[in-house]
Amino acid sequence: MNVDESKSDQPDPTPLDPESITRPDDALLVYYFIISLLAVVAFPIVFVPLFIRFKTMRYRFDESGVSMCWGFFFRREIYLTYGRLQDIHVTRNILERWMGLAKIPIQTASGSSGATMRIEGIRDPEPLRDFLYSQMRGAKAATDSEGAATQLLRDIRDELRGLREEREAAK
Amino acid sequence: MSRAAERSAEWIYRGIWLFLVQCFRVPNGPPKLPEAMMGNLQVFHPSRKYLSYMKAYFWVGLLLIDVAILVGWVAIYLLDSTAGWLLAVPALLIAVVPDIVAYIAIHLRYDTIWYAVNNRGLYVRRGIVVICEHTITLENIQNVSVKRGPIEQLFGIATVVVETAGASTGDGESSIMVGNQTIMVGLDNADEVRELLMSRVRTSTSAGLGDDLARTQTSGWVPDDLELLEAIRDEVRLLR
Repeated sequence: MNVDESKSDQPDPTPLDPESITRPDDALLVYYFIISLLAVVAFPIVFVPLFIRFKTMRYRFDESGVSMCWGFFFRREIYLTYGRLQDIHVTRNILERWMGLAKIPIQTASGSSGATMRIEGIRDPEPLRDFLYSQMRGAKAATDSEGAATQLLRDIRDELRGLREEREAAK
Repeated sequence: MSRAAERSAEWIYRGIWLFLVQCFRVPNGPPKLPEAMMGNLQVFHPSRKYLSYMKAYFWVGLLLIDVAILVGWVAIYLLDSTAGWLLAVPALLIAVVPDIVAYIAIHLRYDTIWYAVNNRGLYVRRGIVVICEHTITLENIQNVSVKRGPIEQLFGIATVVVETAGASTGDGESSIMVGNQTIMVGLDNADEVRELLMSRVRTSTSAGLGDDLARTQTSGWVPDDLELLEAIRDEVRLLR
């Protein structure tokens, strides 16, 4: 993911273009390799599925939602919309921090246990987290004090206040 | 503790911090928050009372374990004085070293817990080995619960648990890493925080399940509107 790195070099980073994220960072494979080594004898059993997962993992962020798919023998695809996101986590263990990686498990209101989608192998997760957060319901929304009705009410209040102050001054 | 000792303790602590920051990439200083969260932001640690609360447990644990070690050592010494002398140094180490580590860990734990709240979102970060960050919007909150144990009551702190409609944790997963609960430990202003969060939830027009705000919006008043309407009413009252 050279995209993020080149961006961090610029003095004023432009907002992340999530559509540019389609694959996990290559360092994720190294991470998978290392955690598989922890299984010692069971190394091949642990590593092969992770290798396939890494090789086949694809992300697609579009304007309304995100989808993710992986698997070769058992293919899995997950689709969700930003509006239905409930929780965004960012977790990093020591190994991931050393390698500059992060996991972003995100959840919808589904009842299944654990994260709905586990976005893995993201270098520099903050811009993506910010993006997801800003797309979440209630993060900025039309309910902001910039709505037309709110502005109108504010004008009415200011007019009334002016009127009252004038009358008080005239007394 | 004298001033000099206090100052040197502080330096040692800072050294440990620096080591963690450089070797274990523990982020130093306040967390990087979503840009959309910037207005009206409050960033804070748990209350200092939470530190005292953890230390109370620490001292009780220390007393119990060290007394046990001492009793064990005295027993060995009485049975066989040479073995007692040989074991004196290891016993002392076992008694003292974990205490120091635990004491530092308590401070580190306290310093790595961060909360941030504004009128739209809630953010929690914690952890040293595994750093977990959790971000939610207040719009998605389903319920807020405040828990106080007996010892916590003694110290005047409480734990605020904020739940969304997200999935609860599965087996073998920590509730902090993944899950729908945002746990804020050691708050001495728990009622204020709860009120802040709940006031937001009460004025929300949706069920917090992904309802389209843009559609429900046109019919309802937003909290800012209500505030303005109240101001207008007061103005008109004053005009009479």
